Amino acid sequence: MTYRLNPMKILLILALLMLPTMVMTAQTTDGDGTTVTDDDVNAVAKKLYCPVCENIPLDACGTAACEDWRYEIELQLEAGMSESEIIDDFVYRFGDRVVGTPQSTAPRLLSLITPWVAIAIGLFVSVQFWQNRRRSDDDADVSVSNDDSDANIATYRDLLESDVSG
Amino acid sequence: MIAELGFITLAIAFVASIYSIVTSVVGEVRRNERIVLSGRNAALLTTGMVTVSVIALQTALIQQEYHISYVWSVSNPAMPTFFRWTALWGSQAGSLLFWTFVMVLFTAGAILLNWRTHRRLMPYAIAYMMAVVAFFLGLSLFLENPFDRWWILSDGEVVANALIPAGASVPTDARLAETARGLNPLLRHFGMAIHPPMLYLGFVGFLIPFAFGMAALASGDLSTNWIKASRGWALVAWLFLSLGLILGGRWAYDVLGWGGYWGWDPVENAAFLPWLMGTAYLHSVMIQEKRGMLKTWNMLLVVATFSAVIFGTFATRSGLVESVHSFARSEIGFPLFFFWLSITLISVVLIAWRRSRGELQDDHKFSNLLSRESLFVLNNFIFMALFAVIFWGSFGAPISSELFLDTNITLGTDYFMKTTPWLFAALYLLMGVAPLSAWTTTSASRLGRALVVPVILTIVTVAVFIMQGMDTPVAIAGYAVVSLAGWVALYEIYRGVVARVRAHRENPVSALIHLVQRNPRRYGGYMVHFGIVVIGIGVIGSTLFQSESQRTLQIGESMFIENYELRYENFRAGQVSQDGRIMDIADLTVIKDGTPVATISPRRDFFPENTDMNTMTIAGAHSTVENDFYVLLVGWEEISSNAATFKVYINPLINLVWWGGLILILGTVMAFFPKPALASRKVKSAQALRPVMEGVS
Repeated sequence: MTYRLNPMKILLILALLMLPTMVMTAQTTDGDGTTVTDDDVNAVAKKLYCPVCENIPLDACGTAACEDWRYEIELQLEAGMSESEIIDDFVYRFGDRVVGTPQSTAPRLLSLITPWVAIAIGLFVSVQFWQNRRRSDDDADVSVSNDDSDANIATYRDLLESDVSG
Repeated sequence: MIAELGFITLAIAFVASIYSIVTSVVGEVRRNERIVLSGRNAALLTTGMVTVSVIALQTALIQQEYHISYVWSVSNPAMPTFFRWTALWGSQAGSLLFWTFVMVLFTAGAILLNWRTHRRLMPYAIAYMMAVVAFFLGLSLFLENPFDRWWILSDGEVVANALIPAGASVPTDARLAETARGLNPLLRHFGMAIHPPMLYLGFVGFLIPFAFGMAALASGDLSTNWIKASRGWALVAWLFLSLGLILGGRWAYDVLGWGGYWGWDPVENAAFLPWLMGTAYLHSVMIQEKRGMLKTWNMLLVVATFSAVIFGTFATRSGLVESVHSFARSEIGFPLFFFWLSITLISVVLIAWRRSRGELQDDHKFSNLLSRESLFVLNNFIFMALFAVIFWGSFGAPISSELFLDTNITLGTDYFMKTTPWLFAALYLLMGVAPLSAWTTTSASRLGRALVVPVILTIVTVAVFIMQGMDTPVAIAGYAVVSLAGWVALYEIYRGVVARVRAHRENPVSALIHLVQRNPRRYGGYMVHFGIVVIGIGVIGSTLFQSESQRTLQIGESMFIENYELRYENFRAGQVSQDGRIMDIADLTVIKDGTPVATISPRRDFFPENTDMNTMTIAGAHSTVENDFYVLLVGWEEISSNAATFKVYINPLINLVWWGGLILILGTVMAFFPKPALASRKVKSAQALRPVMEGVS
């Protein structure tokens, strides 16, 4: 029995044989012909958080979904996208939770400034409180020292009079 | 039988704790010694009953009593005995019971050790301690009962319940053993045997200073008695919390497989926040002891520390950390939230009431901005600022954004690295300056003179770093402030030794020993500072100079990073461990400057029986003083292709983080010990008095 290959089958076999080579080529070069390494991918993934698992950086997340997203970053780098463009794209699709600090201006400012405002208010209140206390303590000291001096003089006079009389 | 024993003793403990609260308060108010003693005994009975309950659960774990749902959920027949012990705190219900157990041990310790010395404070202290214990016992009894058992209802539904439902039957032992889930793989690590108990000891230990503070407010004894009663307990709690944080970092480094030890994760931060408050308290309380100042502030700090403990517990156990909405899904979320809110509000109201009556007036006022007490206040302010920044990043921003902005802001490392380094640098700077300042008043010129030698040594240190090739301004600035703090600690010890050598003609070693013996608190404190300095050097090195690379290698192929070569030698797939895990192991040779220095075997563990979280990445590391060469097996292709992907980190000076932690622990232990000279004097006095006393009797 002879087995004849028709042209379609030959094309299919060729395509299957070429697929790994195409994938390899796609994985190792970007649009400009420069190599995209795992380190390039991780450098971007490090600045992103897993959109599904809470608080796990994308470069360290071991889930299958995160592997896919890292591969997506690789494809985006190959397509010539910059790091900030890729981060913006992830934020656009998954929200601000995929970055360490929000990208959009209002939430970013809110996130970064709020604790410092709270600290500044705390400092202001502490200083005011301290100054007020010093002032009231000073007033109290003056009255106490006056009382003290009066009492001392009275005691001294009593002692003196008892010495003189004795 | 074991389940019934555990459940009944838990119920008795709950009733005894409530009885103890009532009798302690009533006895003290009515000045009735018998009732007060009854309250104390009920508190000790609570300790005994909780201990029996914990023993019952531990026995059930060891004996593999899978009809108890907790045992079924955290163990299985393949698990080695060691992990059956640690499974006690492997999940919510068991860890809550263990938490309560640690709490009652602390409570019993405080009752037995402080009963005679601080009698006036004890009834209220017992009432406060038992109130907290009763709350946690209530959680265990009514919401997270570790003694719930499996039952098959008449309609075939399987439920977990402490009491037998009507018409229910018991599942077969064989079926239960076959389906038992086993311990979470992340917890199958030696570090997990130590890390959670240490953290619990740290968290729970702060209950005692809190209870004594509140007892002082309730009883009206607002002298330094409550501080004297609680200082040792605060130090013990701080020691364990520090140890827990360090071990947690080590566990994360070994098991979580991302090359670091601190990820600014909300769960980590929830443990760090009470540490910050507790550290501020330990500094601030010295001012009240020495100068009778900051009485209100110290009360607020002790409340804030324990409040942070309860908030951290609420945040991590309720599911709040993952999402605000999951908080509602957790059964213990709302009770914990209201408990946290109640104890915080009641305490603050009590402080405000005493203050409004003029009972928390300071004995002295601040007279000089450079005095030690002023610098300690500044130190406290920076701790508060750090607390605010970390709290906002971990909980404030995520909660408020979800509640008010209809979005989900999760702040990560990026935020914390922008906000916290300045505050840490300020703390190190103060750590360098404050010990040289005197109490009451210090002139700028005197402080300047005291700083001359440490500053010169710091300049020399930084110059050496620069000559070694360090050119990162942030690192140079960081090492400068950290070095200053270190040199001041060492210089102060040196000055003490020299003074003793001159005065007593001792050799330097015995002078150092006697110096520490005479004032363990002071020199223990310097040692703690030095430990923090060593940690700081490690943190700066491993954070700013970490390098990493990822490559896919064929067997026999190498990758190069800095002056290291990593050669992939062999792959061992499907190795089955004793506990049933399946390990894929890569064997690698580490070559430095052309010379093989180590063979390491990073691996991926697979837990087939576990459905939730079934893989774990265990790093292979070659550790030296200089750095850690840390390798992760990221992935591999089919065995026939012999290719695997490795992620390599070089973490400079990372081991100083662990060594610094060790120094910190030793320093804290040293600070805790009483002065032996005083102790021996007491012994001598007792010996001298013995004949007299015998004659009298």
